[in-house]
Amino acid sequence: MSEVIFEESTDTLLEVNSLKTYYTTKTGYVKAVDDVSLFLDRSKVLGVAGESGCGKSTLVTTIFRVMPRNARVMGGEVKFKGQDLLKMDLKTFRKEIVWKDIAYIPQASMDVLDPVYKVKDQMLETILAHEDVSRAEAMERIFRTLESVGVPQEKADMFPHELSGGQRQRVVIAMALLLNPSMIVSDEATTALDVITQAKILELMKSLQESRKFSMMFVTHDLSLLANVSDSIAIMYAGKLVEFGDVEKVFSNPLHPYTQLLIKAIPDLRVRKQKKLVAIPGFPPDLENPPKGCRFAPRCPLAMPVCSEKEPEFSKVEGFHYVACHAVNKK
Amino acid sequence: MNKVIRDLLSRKTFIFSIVVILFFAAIALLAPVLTSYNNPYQVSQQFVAAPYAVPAWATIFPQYHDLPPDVRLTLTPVSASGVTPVNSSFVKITVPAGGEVNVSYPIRWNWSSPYNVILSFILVPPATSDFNVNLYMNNINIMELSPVPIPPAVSVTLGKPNSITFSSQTINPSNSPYVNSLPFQDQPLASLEFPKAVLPRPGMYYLVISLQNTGNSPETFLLSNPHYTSLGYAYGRLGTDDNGGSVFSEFVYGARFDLYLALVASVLIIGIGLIIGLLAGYVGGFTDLTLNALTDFFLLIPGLPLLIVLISIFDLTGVIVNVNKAVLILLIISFLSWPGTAKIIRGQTLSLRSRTFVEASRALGEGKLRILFRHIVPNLMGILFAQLAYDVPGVILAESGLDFLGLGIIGFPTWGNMLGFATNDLSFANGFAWWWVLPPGIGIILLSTAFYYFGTAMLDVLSPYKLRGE
Amino acid sequence: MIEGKDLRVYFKSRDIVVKALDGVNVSVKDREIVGIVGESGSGKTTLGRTILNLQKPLSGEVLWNGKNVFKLKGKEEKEFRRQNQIIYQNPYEAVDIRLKVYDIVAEGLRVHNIPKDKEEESKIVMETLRDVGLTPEDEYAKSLPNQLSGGQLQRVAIARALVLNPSFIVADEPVSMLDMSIRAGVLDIFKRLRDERGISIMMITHDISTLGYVADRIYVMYQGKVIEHGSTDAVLDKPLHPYTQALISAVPIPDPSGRTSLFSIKVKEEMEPYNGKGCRYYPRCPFAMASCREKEPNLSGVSSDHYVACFLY
Repeated sequence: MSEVIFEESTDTLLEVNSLKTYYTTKTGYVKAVDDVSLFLDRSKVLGVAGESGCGKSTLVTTIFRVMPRNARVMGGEVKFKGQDLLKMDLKTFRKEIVWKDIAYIPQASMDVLDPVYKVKDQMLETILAHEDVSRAEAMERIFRTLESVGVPQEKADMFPHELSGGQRQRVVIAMALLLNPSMIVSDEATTALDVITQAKILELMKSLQESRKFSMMFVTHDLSLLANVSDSIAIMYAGKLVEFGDVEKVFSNPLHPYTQLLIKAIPDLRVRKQKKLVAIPGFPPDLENPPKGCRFAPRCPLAMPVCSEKEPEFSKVEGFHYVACHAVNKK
Repeated sequence: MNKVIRDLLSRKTFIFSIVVILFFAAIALLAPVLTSYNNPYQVSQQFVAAPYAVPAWATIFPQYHDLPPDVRLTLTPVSASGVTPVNSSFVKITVPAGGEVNVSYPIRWNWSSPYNVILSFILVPPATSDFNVNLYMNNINIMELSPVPIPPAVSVTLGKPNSITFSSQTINPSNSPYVNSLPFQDQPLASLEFPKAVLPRPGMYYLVISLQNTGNSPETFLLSNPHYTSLGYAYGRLGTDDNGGSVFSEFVYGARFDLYLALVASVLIIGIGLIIGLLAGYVGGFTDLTLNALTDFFLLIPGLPLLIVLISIFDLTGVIVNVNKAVLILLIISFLSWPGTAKIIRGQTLSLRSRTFVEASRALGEGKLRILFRHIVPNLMGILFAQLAYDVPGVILAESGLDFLGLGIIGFPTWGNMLGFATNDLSFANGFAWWWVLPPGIGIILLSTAFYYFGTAMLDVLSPYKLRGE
Repeated sequence: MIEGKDLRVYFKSRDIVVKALDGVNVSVKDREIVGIVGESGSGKTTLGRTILNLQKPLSGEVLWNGKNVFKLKGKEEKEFRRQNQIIYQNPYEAVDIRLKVYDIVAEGLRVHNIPKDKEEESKIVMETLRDVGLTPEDEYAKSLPNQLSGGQLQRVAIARALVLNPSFIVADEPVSMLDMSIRAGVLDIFKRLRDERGISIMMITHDISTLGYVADRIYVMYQGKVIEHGSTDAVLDKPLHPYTQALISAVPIPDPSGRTSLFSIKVKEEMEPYNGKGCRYYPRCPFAMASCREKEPNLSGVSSDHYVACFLY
């Protein structure tokens, strides 16, 4: 893939360059992330969207180097502050980078919080494992952080199961903030929550991001969330990046047919009488034998003969807006 | 179904288990063909070779190289003057007055000493009483036959056929000059020492029958060709036990019993365990309470102690006389093996019953029985086989343990009591009788492992939860 | 055609009684899609199960064409089961994953002995598979559930319900497990069923925005109670209850220019626990008054097709 996109970056924090992560199976490779490049600037929010199986979760596990055993990085690099994370010693990476510089907010908060430890003990452990501070100092910081995410101090003495879903997610966010990281990756962090709680949590994350000035990579299947929180947006389909650009540009002028259809598939109560929900015909391809050429071609309403022959190039449209589509490139 | 079988066959552990189970099943089925001794624990079937005889094939090892097999020979005399064949099995010997004729029978011996030596022949002495017959082997006077029985001479009837048998195991100072000539303290061990004295090592040995005529006229003796028999120290496929019983026969019939046990236990585990577990889990309520209590009761009975007590009581009260003890043990052990299965099936049924697809079936209008047989039972098959995998080896081990301790079956061979007897007799004689200990030991391990692998393979293949991960 | 009256379902776990349904009245008319919306724990799933007699209520009755469904016996019960179907949220949980798609769909036919022979059975099954958009139907009929995607399997689950030609379907979060791009396709099936076959549908969801596209009427539930109900237009365009208003403004809008609305929801953090007698929503309600703590409001009509349970009106 072309490196042209990096020209758009002004203050790069994270740079994913031609990353390929494949899963080995009995019969071959599942190309879960295939030649994906993107970047994230300091104090910005990058939204990564795509449907189940598009490779967005694999992208996250690759960045954190916690891929399943049968996954292998086949090429590319993940540069964080100029350092290739994939080439770092795993121990140093875990001690110096994870939580300290890049924190993680996962979907199932119950999985991160060990049910047998109190909230404050888990948070304490996170601090003490990475930093050389006194217990009192650490506790002080824990209470401060909990307060900043809107969790009353007394909840620190509770066990995870005694908290409501929204509060648990807040505690997880607090844990991510504990070590003041410069980047937070949120993988479907609000998916399991009720809509009202989701809105509250999003509001919290956004305001924290703005006040603390950290960068955030926000991974979700729900495009409409990204419209509300992110500065730039990357759309993935079947292991490929299909569109990448400034959030305003992508939403006001979606170029890739997949992005266009995806936006049309989102229910919008304001225009429910005018807008008809659109379904994309067909189903996502088998990533072990992806279709030749553009992977979206079999479902694409604009597909041309060339689409099933040649993979489209990633090319600049106008300003910070890139797309990989033959139909757009031709214009 | 085809897919299930293909999946099974792609597993090495499953192939292993099937091969082992089929192997033992074949052995058990073909037992009467494989061996003619159906119960080597009976006295009549013992001493088919020397006690602690090694397997015949073991003579390829240097330390067993010289061990003799069972030997059975009909000896033929070296031709000499005065010895004339009457027919193929009799010779006529004319001994001149006051003379002596030695009839020599060569024995080609290729091994170290055998366990015993038995000689038998028919002698027709003359009608007069003026004669004496001496048997020599390896130049040792082993027997004296005389019309006047002065010990150690053995009497013979004049002029009539006498069936003479010499057995090294019954010799004593009053019937064998050899024993008589030994120092007093060695005489009790004579029967053990005898084979070493007459057939000490490989070589050419002679049995000499010396006929003496002390009368005044030539006399004629008729003598049949003697039969030589000796039990050897190398026997059959798996040697012998302490009583000279065939270990191979014991192993084969032991396999028969253990497989039978596994089968009965499986049937009972599936039968009782599945039904009680299903009923408790599916019907619920009071039925569940009752069945669960019953299961707990059986589950909490300490198996081995109970068995020991029960068997002792039955032994003392004589119930055993009326009921076959082996059947009783088999039933008791199998009967104690189902509660675990019932518990697990109940739990699984409870969990299945509350799954969405069962509710979906209810919403479709399916009746309770149809849901049970179409959705619940098939989904339990994997777990049921897994239970077999864990429980059947348990049953085999429990029964073997009981037999090993001597509290179970002793009337006929099982792998457990083979090990038990082997261990009892381990302290003396042959030291470690590996051919006796290893086959039942390996048998128990292999069969248990095979059942385990069989069960886990079935669990993997039949378990519907796996399908989702594929 | 089907109506729940004063339904109460309480679950007891240890000492705590959870009132999953607490006096709920709902009705679904012919050729109508009724949406039930609420957050997790609002009792919406229990309502669907109770309506179909999969959950016995503590009190109340469900009338199906005038007959109490909890008292149906024998043939009538069977007919009730045939005419009323349910579709679940997670299709992987809702089908017996050992069975092939064909057998999953044919199950209902076999239970009710509908087809005369194998050929007719196969014809009905294949037709239904085509109906829900699973073509080529021969291929799908042969596959196992684990070979299908969530969207495909949900269509199988719908086919299983449709094969019996029902008159009423409870759809419990039928699209929430599915990817955005295929949700519309599944929702379209439900709309078509209503328009072409006249099937009534009760669609249970936590996402009020999808209801805007399919439902004719909407019931909003909160902690075991219906707090607002009315025609879709009335509820969505003029939401009255503060909770309904919050629910609507919490739906993220796919447009970066609309950011402010998502973050302007008026909900309080639940600071005090519910006291057991007042309005269930008052701990979170930004408009809570003193009377809200003391008494529970009843549903009352603000117009002929709009009812709300709130002291503000």
